Amino acid sequence: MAEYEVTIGLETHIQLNTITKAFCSCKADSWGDAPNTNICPVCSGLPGALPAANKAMVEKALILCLAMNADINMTSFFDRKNYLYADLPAGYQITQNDKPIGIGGYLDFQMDDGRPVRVRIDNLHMEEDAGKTRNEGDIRLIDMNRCGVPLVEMVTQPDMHSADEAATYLIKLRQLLRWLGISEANMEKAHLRCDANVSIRPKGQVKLGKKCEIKNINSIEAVRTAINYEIQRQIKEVEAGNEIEQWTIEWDNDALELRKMRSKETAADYRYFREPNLMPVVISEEFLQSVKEGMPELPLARQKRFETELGLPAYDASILTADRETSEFFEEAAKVYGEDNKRVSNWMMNEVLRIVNEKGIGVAELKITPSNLADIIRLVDKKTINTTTGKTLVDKVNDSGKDPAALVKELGLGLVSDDSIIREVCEKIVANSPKEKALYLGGKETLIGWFVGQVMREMRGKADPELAKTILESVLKAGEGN
Amino acid sequence: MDDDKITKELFEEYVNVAEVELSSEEADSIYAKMNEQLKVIHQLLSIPHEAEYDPVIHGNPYPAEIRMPLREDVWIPFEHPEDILAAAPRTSDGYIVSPDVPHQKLV
Amino acid sequence: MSDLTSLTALEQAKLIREKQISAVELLDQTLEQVKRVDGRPGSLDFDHETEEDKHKVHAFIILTEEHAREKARSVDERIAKGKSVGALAGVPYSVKDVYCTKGIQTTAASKILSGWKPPYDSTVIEKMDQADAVMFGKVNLDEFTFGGSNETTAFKPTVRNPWNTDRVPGGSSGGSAAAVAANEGAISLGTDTGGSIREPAAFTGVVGLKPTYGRVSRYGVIPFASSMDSLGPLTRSVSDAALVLREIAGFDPRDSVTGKVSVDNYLEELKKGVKGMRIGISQDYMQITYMDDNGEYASAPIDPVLLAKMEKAISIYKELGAEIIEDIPMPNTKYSVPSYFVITRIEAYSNLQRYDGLKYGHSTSRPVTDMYDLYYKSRGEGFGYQTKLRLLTGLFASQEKFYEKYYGRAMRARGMLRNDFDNAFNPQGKYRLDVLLTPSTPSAAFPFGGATAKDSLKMQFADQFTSPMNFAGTPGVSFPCGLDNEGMPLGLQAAGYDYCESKILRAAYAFEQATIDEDWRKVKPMVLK
Repeated sequence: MAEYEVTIGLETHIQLNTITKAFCSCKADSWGDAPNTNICPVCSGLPGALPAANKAMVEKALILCLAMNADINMTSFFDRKNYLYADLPAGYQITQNDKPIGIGGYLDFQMDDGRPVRVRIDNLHMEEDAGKTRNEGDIRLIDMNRCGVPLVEMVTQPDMHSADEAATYLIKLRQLLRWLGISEANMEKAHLRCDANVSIRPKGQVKLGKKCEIKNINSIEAVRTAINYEIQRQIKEVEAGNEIEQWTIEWDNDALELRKMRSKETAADYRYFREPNLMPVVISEEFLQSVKEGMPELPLARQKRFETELGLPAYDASILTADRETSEFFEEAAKVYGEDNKRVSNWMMNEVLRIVNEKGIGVAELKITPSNLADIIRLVDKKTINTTTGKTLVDKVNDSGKDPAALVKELGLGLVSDDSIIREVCEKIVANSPKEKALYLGGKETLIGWFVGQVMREMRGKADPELAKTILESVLKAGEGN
Repeated sequence: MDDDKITKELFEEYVNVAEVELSSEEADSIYAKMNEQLKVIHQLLSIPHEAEYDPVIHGNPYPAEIRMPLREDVWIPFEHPEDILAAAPRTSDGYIVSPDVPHQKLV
Repeated sequence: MSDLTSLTALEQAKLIREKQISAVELLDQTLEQVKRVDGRPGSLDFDHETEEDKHKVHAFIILTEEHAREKARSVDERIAKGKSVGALAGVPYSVKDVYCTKGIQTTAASKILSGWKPPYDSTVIEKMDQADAVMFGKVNLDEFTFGGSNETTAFKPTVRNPWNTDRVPGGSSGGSAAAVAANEGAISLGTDTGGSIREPAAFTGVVGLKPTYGRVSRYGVIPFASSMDSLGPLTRSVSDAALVLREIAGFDPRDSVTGKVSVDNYLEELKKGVKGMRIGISQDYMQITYMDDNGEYASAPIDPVLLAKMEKAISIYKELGAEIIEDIPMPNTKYSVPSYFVITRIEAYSNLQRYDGLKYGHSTSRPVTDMYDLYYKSRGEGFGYQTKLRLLTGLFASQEKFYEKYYGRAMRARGMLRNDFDNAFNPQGKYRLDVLLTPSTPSAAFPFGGATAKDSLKMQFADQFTSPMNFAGTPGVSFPCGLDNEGMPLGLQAAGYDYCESKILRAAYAFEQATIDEDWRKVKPMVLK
């Protein structure tokens, strides 16, 4: 078998988390609604109805353009893409064809092994979503609730060379979208969908092979599976001496199979022309400036800063910038704590993210605050509590939402540093352990650890172990002469 | 401008894309008329190509002061979505019903 | 009260407000008038035209009597209680059947929409309701407004010209024009994409106003070509047109192309007269320009009677103190024909995409093999000949490979034509026009069959003086100026600049008042005799 090089380009459809649809005042999110209940004359394509473009859609699209380093078209146009299909009530989709809001740009990211990848963007355009259809026997059921939901379609250059790279691109894109707060980017809810253009060519061949487009890939896992299936299919065809034909293929995630779509559904000519019912989208300098000022620091920049300015190892910086809330939680906690960022990072990764994973929630939903975490670390530093108690305190603060110091007092978690109390226990332990005492005095000094353990057990871990050790040594040695 | 002449084959293709069944009389007549109308369309080519004129969507200019601002993102539900559904010739459990579109499975 | 139906809307509203008549009484008389002159309404179940049909107007597709009576009663009640009412309180009006009316069938005169009752009202219908006008029926038109004679309607019998029922009423707002001319309501609302208000107004001797694109909201009105569709009134007096415009004009957040421009009190403005106004005449609007068989531009004269009417109007305006500026160059007018043709066909094709037999209207009852077959058959059965022709022409012209060649050029030509208007009306320019005076049409109404005869391009001539305004987006009003040698009405057009409806209405009003006692104004349409 010859060696093949794979080339992949992705078209991602990103559902913007606006309140209303792209061109009407129906709510954008119909999750859980009965079919055809969240519709109006505009999105259901009734004769006479007219679109009115949503400001929040333009704003969020603009944020994405800036984050992707794209050039902004200060005047962009809406066009009609004409085709007849059951899920498209007007018979045309309002989209942006030759003058979209964003042109060019790129997304930089690292593969798991640290290898850097840059995927270039061809363009970003705003458009409305189609409705949902599903088969039931020989009929198709149409739900128009999703009609008109605002999307940004982002088209990449053919810069990916494996299903894994494509999947990682999507993971990073999803992270970015959530980070920017412009999309829930939940693939299960189809907030983020992608079509993949896949081609193969023998290694060393310059000319790209003919590409096939796989539509409707709706999870990261499906991206890997569908692309790998398609690569295998193309290799099989080529090995059998057949030509690859430029097909449009639909991925059925339930049946795990690829299906060729009818040529009518993939008619190449969409007869684009300007949507006469809408004005061009004119972005003023002021508007652009205000959006720019509201832009958060982006994940990769923040990761780099965590390394260079906060002195975190690359691994920590990458984990702590996986999402915006985590990075902000950490940074706030580190600021409050004020010293040794790595120590905060450890607590963050080991304890806070442990809770997040155990509970399957987001950092934003935690009750514990960044300053709570800083307080807990300080309590450990000051030996008010020991490390083990500190770790359980993180859970307790998160469960109750109470202040750590108050909780320590309330539950009596503090280390006992009163000499006389510890001395009393030490004397009792030593008195009850003549054999161990003799061995210790006989030179087996490592037994001091056993004595400390006994004291800690007696005091349920609340004794300061360092102090207990000192007292034990003096108690043991005091009786030496007897 | 013969390159744009509408052949019978092309005409059939347009009818197919348009999804509109024609009687044979309609087909003959419309086919002839469209070719006739090409004359009108081709007058366009006599228009001097003057760069100073940008393509415009509307005749009227829309200076910023009269242009409608973008719609604010505020939810206003349509009062009677059920009336939209009620107009559909075939429905089932709140869905609009269409005949299926067959697919070809790839092995 | 004697015949109320021949009064203007302004007069009717005054009588109602002053409690001299009731809205219900006026409605009854209007419905009586319809019964007298209209004959059977347009219907899809049409067999053949009877002898009686040939002498009736057939303006209506449906009368909304109950709806109207309810509204009229509520107006009467409020007036009786001394409550405030709108400016058109109790005045019956009809609408072209492309205005969506909640719960009332809206057909666009096409079989494809048969049985459809929109779940919403168009903005203008809402505004007329707020003005307390009484909608009593919906009138016929060319299918989807595609035509200039009303002959393409799927609802037959077709509308006839009240002046001579062997002639077309014009179109596509032919039902509106015929209804108003036959005293079936003082107001009808029409639409105008290339002259569809002004041409039938001229053909039936009424006033027809096409406002600036963006002056009146198009929301809820079934489109022809969305970048050009304008909505406006057809009335028997200029004052009525001014009054209706005042009530329906204005910025509408649901129509993104409406401009944020304040609405004048057009009725008050009329009184300002034309003294000092600059009124232009252009040779490009005094002859028909067309393509001959060799593909060369050729020109043909317009009806000489029309030229005489123009001369007369000019002398009246001079007497009233207006300044006449001759030879206004509008050199790009001839390019507007092919460009207008291409853009309207492309937009119309796309606007027809939504009719698929799935969501509303006609759906085939024949067996189908799949979704596409359902489309194919439903659309084939539902669309009429002219609609199919325009749809296919638009589909041809909108191919991506022709984008620059046709659509791109047409958009540029639009800019060129617009430039003619800018030059003529620019207040700092050479001509500084307030109004451009043109004939509304090259001739009076033609006999039936004229439009569908051999050459469908002939249809283009009827709107040659009106479609440039749709292309440029500027306003124009057609007003009666006399009768031709066969006793058919003729119209002149006062065309203006963006949002300057006041000026063109002033010009039309000045002519109307100066000729109010002339003999031709006393001649009544055939059906009223």
